[in-house]
Amino acid sequence: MLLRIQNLKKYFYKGSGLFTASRVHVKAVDGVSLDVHAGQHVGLVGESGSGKSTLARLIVRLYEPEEGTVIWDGRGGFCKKRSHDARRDVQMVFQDPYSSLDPRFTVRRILLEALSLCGEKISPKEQTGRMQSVLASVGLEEGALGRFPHEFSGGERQRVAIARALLMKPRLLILDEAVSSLDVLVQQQIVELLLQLQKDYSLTYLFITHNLKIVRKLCKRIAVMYRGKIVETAETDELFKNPLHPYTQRLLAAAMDYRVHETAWIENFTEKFQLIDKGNSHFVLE
Amino acid sequence: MKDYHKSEFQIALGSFLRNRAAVVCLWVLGLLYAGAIFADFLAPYSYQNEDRDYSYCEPTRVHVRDEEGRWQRPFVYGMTVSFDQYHKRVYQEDRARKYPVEFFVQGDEYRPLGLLSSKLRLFGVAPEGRIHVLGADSRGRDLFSRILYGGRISLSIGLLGVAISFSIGLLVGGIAGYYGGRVDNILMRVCEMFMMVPGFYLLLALRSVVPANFNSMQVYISIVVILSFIGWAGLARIIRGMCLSLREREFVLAAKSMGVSDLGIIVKHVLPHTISYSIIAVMLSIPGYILAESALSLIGLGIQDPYASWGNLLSEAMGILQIQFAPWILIPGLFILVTVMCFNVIGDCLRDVLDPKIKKL
Ligand SMILES: Nc1ncnc2c1ncn2[C@@H]1O[C@H](COP(=O)(O)OP(=O)(O)OP(=O)(O)O)[C@@H](O)[C@H]1O
Ligand SMILES: [Mg+2]
Repeated sequence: MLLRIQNLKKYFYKGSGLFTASRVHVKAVDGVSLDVHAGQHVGLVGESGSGKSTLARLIVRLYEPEEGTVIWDGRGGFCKKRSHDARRDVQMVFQDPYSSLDPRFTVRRILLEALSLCGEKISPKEQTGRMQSVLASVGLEEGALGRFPHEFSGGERQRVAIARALLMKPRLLILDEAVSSLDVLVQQQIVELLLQLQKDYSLTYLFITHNLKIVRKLCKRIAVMYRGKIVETAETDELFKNPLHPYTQRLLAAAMDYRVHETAWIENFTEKFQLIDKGNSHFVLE
Repeated sequence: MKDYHKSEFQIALGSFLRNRAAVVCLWVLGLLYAGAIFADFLAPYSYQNEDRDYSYCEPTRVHVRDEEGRWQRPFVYGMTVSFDQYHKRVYQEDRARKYPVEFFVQGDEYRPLGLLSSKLRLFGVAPEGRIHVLGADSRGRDLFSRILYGGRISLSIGLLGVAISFSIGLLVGGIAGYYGGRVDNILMRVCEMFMMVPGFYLLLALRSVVPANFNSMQVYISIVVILSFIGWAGLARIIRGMCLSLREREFVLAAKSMGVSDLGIIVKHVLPHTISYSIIAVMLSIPGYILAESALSLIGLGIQDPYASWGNLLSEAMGILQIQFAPWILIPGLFILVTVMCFNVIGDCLRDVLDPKIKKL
């Protein structure tokens, strides 16, 4: 077991003044439990505001949870301060390639920062070697090292961000809507890249997205999040064939628009959907 | 082609250098600073050198033709003083005493960096005569020389003050903005305390705490410290606002999730993004320090005689009589004016270059 999340909670508060009492504003993550096994990619889907990013940030310890534990590699919880090793083992690629790279840093500096944190002492020559090899593995040419983020396209930036994460030699890579802002073709490339990298680096992905097509291609299991809770977890095929939770069904219905012709679950699903639709006019195709 | 690997900053520098007014101002400031740095060499006299016979002597005329109209190398006449019916000093050129202006002469001694001693000065006349390019003050000291020496204090006080107050402001603003929450709250209340008190009163109050027996160097340092003590709060507030939004940016989160230390993130990823604002603010706030020092000196609380600063040179021009009879003692004010103007023009230009959004408003 790579990662076990138990009953994780994160609330955001309103008003944290010196004298004002703080009140719960949003229960962004509200009692989430999730297991991730090595080599079994997990897709995390859910509507906007359902707490996916918050969950990801809890896992990499950008936020401290209200309650609950994140157990890494069966080695007990690291609830308060994540140890350096554990930090390295879980890396995250952020949603927006236009803002996840410091615009003032050249790619060389961006990668060097990651290298300097990976805990080994290496000579400058070897540093360059490693940076070049990781750039090659994400499909960027050597000349990229001297360039600034604004000189790259969105897809190329996302590759730089992935390269940075890879330099830390993580075992779990969290991709928070890492391809959502890219166009379909580039999405395709990145997904293929991810599949390739997974073999080379023995990675496990936690893939957060709205895009069911990609999750289906990449992930073995899917967790569906709704209003801070995980409402359904299932093997990918199972979920597509037989979505249980109304929200999951709605999600699949919405996705159906785009891919009417190719899915096997459709007949099965539309039947169900109509059932729900009769009973509850709230669930309407968007 | 070569545009490729330019950072934002290099691009901004390019368009800054295309602004004529700003470049001129940069040169003027360069000259002023050079004048202050090389005051020992450029000034004909030391700041202390006085000759009471030349009290309020008008600017010396440099002649190139003698009485018969023959061309000569530049020279000056000695001056004789007499009093008119109102006991006002009247200076007359004494045609009998002629002193050629010489270059690279031996003058008053000085010790650059406190080590070697030298007497070499750019120009001067034989010790029996005196040359006052911009006139002399009440004690017959050369105004030009004193302005150059005064520049050392007036021009450096702005830079030093800004350096100190900006380090404090950036750090406090950075910490408050980055951590947010309670830390932010406390730090900002402290800032507001400083901002609530009218600056000049705070200045006077703090100045009154400085012991009277301080020597001039200590007074100088304490003035710098006091000035920067007042100046940091405003900056800290603005930097804090910027950091509050920067800390949510994904590259900051990325650095944090990789395990970069908090201080490392603040210094490497957060504060550099406030730099264009900071540079503008630095440029626009240096004049404030220069003016504050002048104001302090003007009311006699700044740099003390015999040391010169533009403010205390100007404090001689407090009486209407002096201004009437020796208008050249206002010249230090001109230097202050020009310096302040240059910093403002450069600051404005930097703002146009670094922060194009503001211009459109
Ligand atoms: N720093 C914060 N302060 C206050 N509320 C927050 C904060 N971050 C997130 N939230 C709230 O928590 C909820 C979950 O946000 P989160 O970013 O996790 O959603 P998400 O599932 O990632 O959405 P999206 O798909 O749009 O990225 C939202 O309602 C959001 O308003
Ligand atoms: Mg999100």
